[in-house]
Amino acid sequence: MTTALPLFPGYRQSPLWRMLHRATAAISGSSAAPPPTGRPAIDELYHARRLSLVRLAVLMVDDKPTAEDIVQDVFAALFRRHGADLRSVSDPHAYLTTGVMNAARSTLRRRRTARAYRAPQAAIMPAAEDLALLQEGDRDVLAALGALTVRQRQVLVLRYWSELTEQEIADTLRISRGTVKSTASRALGTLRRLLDRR
Amino acid sequence: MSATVEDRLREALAARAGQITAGDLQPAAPPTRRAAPARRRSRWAPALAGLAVAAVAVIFVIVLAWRPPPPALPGNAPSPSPSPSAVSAVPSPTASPSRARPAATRDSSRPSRNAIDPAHVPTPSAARRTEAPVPAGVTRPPTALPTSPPPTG
Repeated sequence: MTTALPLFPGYRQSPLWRMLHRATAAISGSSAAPPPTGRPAIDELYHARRLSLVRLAVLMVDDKPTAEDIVQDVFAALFRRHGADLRSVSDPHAYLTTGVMNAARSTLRRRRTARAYRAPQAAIMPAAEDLALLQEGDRDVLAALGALTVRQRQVLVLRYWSELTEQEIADTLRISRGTVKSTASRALGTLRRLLDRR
Repeated sequence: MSATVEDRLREALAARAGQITAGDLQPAAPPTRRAAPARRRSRWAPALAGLAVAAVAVIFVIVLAWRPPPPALPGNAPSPSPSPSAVSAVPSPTASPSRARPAATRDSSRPSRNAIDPAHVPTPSAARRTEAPVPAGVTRPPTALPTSPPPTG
């Protein structure tokens, strides 16, 4: 196939060639050009990003098992949708961050809905040993963070832990940059009031 | 004051995230571990199966719709020339023997289902020859057979 079209040397860049190549690779179930390491790209990404994504999810949903489930589901969805080579994903890291944020938001909303219809029960909190290892000031800040809305919490975690810019946060959460700015400002004001009360 | 809150927030988030280490996580389970090629194929399998069924159905319909032309009778053998002489019952001498011969041999060996035995059923031309003379002033449709009873009343 590589020597079949000598009169058209740029055929590999043509859309028709790319479409046929993608279709044959999908039907055969394997990519024609595997990554140099021999491991699929999504596996590389999984091993490289899993820990940081679980940490990000923990900062959103407070408990580690749920955070691990969220990250696993996001990777599974990425694989189902884009395959193992991830060639069709322009920015896999941003895709994963957005997926984790959306899943965490859904989890928190489900919790709040469940709390509205069930008898009062203990809120999901970090494990006792984890809390004990934190300083008192950090515990206060995390407790105040839990009192914010889901969107405010997302913006603060992405801004002050992931160190994303306002534009990157806007792209991740699919909101406008102005909304990011106003949400962060309001969240910091609420956080300040809550910490002053303590 | 705002910087203090931001700094405290950064420290708290970093401290909480630092509590999660790689050893705390469950064993790694990359998403490709679960029979990835089979899943990729299963996405295409229904479409391919549908295309195959559609192709078979189209071929089946075409085969059913296409029927070979009925064997030509000696009296209705089409003439290769579109001249008015093709209507005549006698095969034209210009017809090629390769076409006329199979029909003639088949009719002579065993009677076709569509063939009409001139000994039992008179052809319109034969009936026209044997029927009684029509009185003057009475018209009769040319296709009427003598075996059909005349309309009464």
